Amino acid sequence: MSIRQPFRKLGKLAFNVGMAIFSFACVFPIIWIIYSSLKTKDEFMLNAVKLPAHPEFRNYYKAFVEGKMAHYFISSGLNSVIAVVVVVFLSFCAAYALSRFRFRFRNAIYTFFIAGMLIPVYGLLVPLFLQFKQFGLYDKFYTLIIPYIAIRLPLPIFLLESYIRSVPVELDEAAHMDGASKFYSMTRILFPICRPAIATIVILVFLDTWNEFPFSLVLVTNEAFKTLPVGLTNFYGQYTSDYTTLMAAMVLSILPVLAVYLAFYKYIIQGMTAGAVKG
Amino acid sequence: MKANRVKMTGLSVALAVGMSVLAGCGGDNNNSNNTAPSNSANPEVNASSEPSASAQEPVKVTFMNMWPKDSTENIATTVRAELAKFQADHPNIIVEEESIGDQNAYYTKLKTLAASNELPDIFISKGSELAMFAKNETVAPLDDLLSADADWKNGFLPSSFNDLSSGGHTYGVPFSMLATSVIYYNKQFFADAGFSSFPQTWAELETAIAKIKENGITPIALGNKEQWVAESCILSALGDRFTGTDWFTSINDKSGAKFTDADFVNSLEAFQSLAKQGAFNKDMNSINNDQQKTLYFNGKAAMFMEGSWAIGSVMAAPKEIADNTEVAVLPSVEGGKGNAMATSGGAGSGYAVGVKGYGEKKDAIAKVLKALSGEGFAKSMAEKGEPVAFTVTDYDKSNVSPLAVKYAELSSQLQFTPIYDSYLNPALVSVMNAGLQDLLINGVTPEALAKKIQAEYEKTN
Repeated sequence: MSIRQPFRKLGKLAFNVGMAIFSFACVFPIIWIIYSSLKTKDEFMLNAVKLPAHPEFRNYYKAFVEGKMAHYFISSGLNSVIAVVVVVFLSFCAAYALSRFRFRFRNAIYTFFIAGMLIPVYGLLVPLFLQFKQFGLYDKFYTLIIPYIAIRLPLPIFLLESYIRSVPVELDEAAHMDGASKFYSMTRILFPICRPAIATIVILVFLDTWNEFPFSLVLVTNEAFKTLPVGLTNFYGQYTSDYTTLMAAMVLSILPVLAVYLAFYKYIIQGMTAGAVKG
Repeated sequence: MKANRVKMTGLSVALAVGMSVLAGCGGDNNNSNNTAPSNSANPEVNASSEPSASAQEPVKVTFMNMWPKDSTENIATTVRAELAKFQADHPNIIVEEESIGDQNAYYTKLKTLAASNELPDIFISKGSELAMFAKNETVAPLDDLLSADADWKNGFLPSSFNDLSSGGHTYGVPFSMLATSVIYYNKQFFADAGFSSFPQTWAELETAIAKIKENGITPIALGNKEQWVAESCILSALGDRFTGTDWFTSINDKSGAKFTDADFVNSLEAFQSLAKQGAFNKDMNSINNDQQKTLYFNGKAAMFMEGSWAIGSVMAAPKEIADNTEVAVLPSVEGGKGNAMATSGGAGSGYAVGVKGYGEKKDAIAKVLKALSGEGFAKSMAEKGEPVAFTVTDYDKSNVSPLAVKYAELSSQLQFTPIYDSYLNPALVSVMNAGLQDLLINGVTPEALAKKIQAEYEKTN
């Protein structure tokens, strides 16, 4: 028995070292982008990995002011916030109905929503473009928000439907006994319980919409309506790429996503330990 | 009520018939209305329908390109300057630009637009894509437009339309003339190896490579991770040395030549023997064309091969390297059928015109195209040291970088041969490109690769 002890410790150590290397490999690209964004173009061309000799923030100025990143920030931000609010509202209502009521075509409707997850975005590009062009929705300030909401809906409905189903019906019944209306128990009792699922949805929807590329590329022409990732392509030239400015722009574009993640992350943890009816 | 319902049905049928019919009807209505009302109303109606009024109404010409607004590339700044000038001279034509910097994204959008026949009035396109658009009749043939202005048409270099034509029609107007295979070499390293100028024959080149390698320097920096470099920047020119251009013409017309022909196999073999000799850096399949330049800029490699577009970045390299850099093309090969003073090149891309806007806005489009490709444009490009597709004789050379002058001298003696990937179909090109990666690491013999390419070629026949 006593011989095994050191071996187990050694095994643990090896495992930890392995994991540390793995995590480093995951985090390094981000660290690399951050310090490379402080280098000059020539410095970067000569050695892509070296730390900057004289860190400077000129690339950030170039990206934000000369590259007109502000446009894309506003557009991506507005689209993301609206998409998050509308998706959370719609998916919560839909999931509540789907999980708490039995009605005809309930399964058909559920399947219909879930089927939306199976269609690849690139398959939708041409049909959607034609549709928007025909209906006169092409290149308007509200153009992008429509497909963004539609395409993000299935996953939240799927998540919330199963989450609400895991919440005991007794809770609703108790509320009903105490005289709460359906609306009250839905918004004041169920909604707070669903916080972890909703936090997940907020993070996912925000991230996906913030980073959305194909629709923004194809459905709008006006620079002001394009999302950030399409704006980032401006730093690529036909034969050359301005990598250092691009990296500064990337760092800037990571920040809001990071902020949203940090703001909602704690709810996921909280939700795991919360609960009313246990056992 | 009944009469009303009939009217309603009639109206909805009329709506359903479609916009084109309605537009036609609208035109008729206007004419009949013009005669009907009293005289006092007439001048107003006339004002809105007479041609004099339509001249005041500005024509919108959409222009989609790959040059981001704040791009400092010479082509982008020149186009913008010419456009600004054009707008000042033609207040009744408004050019609406859309720029997408990333090539893949650009072509994704272009293909979506093409699939729904909504291509912009003017857009940039590669020759190979243009051939596909032409097949689907979404781009307009520009033969009439070009012949209408002989001075403009004849100003272009003779071979510059080659990449932009298919099926006997011209679909694009070239704006630049690029060589895809230029050797940028460091004369200091060659001098150290005992060569005062670039080798004139293949055997000499091999000796030079061996000596440079002995000196501890990578002879040729190659970054072929993205696969097109070996094919577009090396094989297109090397292949032509062996096979001659007639062979490729025959391949392209599908009139008999084969990829398994001895000449083409020899070119693959020569390419592989360079790799076997250790002429390239070992990580050639995992770095890209920017990184191949980095190797060269750091003085770790004696040469690299890329298109004429690399001149700008070489001039931005450390002074010691930039000053020692010379340009050359591949030497002649023994028994080769191709011209030794030639390299692969062409217009590559050009301005194309969507068929939808061409019908109604032909004149405006022609004017914009001339402004963006004609003499004024070409001259200001040449003054920045950019290779142009339009003949310009006297221009101010004072601002042109020394390497660009050297290149201009070299290219004036050169003949341009086809770039493989701007003619062959994309599926075939991807087989060839992937095969070349394999060839360079000895994963496949030249014969086997030639067979594989030929098999794909026959499939698409």
